[in-house]
Amino acid sequence: MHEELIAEIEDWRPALQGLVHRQMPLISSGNLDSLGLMRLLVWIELKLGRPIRVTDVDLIRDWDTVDAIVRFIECEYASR
Amino acid sequence: MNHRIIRYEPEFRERVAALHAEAFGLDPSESCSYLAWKYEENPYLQEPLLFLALNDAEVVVGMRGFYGTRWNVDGSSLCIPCADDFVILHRERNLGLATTLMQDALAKVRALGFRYVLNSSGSPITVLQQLAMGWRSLGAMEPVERLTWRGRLHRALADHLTRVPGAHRLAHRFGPDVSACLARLERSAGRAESHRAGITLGVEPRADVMAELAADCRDDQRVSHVRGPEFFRWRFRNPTREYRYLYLERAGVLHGYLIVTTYRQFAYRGLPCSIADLVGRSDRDRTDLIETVLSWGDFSAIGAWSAAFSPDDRESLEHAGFVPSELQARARGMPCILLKTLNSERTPGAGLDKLSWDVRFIDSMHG
Repeated sequence: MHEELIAEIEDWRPALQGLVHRQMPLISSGNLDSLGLMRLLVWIELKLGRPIRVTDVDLIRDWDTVDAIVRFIECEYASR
Repeated sequence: MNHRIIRYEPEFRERVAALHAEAFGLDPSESCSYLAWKYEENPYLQEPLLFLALNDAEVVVGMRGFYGTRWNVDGSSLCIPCADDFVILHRERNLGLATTLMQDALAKVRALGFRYVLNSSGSPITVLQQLAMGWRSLGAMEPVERLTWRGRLHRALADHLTRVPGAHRLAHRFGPDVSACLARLERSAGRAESHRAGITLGVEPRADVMAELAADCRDDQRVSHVRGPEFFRWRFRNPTREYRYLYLERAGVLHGYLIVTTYRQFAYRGLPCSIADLVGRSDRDRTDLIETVLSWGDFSAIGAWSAAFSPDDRESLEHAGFVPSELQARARGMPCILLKTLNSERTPGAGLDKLSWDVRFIDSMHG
């Protein structure tokens, strides 16, 4: 899932082609702009198969890196 | 490309209006009068809190506004700028300018001494970005709507047309006629036999008596927008909306009011009419106002934010046929009110995000 997400992010932001890695800050660094965030939300929702109550999520803690996002998805799966 | 963030000056008025008009599908003159009303005539801020992004050629390529709001908090009142009108020119998007503009604007607002900022009408994409910048939700607004068969037909036609290439610009022509809604409301109100429980319809706010009633009915346990006469005199001059006021009086004393709002230029994706505010001395008074406005207006589509209403009011809405709406947004906790703390020093009102908030449709720029 990590590699799939990295490929998606590079697709959303071609300027990041070849630069994205698992610990790279995406949100706190401004690498993901508003449109990128929306795409990320939709991508996570597709992975989970349900909408996310995003106002309850700490985005900087839970979605700032590829590692954190994958961990978030795994935790959400586990809590179902 | 380098960008410079500056505070609005009157010399930029036309260029800002052009950017706003393009982003929101308005005529530049409409945008100009709307922005003047919102930022230059605001009763709570002396100077417009509007920030602009200029590119190397000094072209206005982005804007972020904060209009003044004032809230009852712990027995006193607190001015909180409310973020709105966030625009980035299409060709400048996804380059990090949105984040730069927002952060720079917030730093400037903080430097002016404000401790908090709000956002009460952000699109899902804006809400997401603000959550990423440390804003906190004060709660979901729980939108509801009531559609008749005509309303459902209009929506189905408009939704269909938006998917047909080249036809989406026609979709608004199939939307409900909002001027007909108001005309129906006025005709019904004008019939003597339809008068119920001392309810009358007005086309102007009665600022002083509405302010007195709102103060009498205020729940001091919750943070609520100040509803003084200056609020009523300013708020309903919004040039993009029309308002009608149902007044419930007994023995010459105002016991309740309900405000209906419509767009002057209806955007087919939203609801044409909404209940913007509802205040009454008793549950019965508020129920009478709800039943009366629905009976008089016979609206094909009308909405409301139900979160701030009492359980009895929500039951009245449900009984009248209102059902949860914007289901996808609801599932994401939206629409919502966001708060950002700019200064975390221990000051009166600190920890506002932990308090209970009473936010009405009219407290946002949806209304």
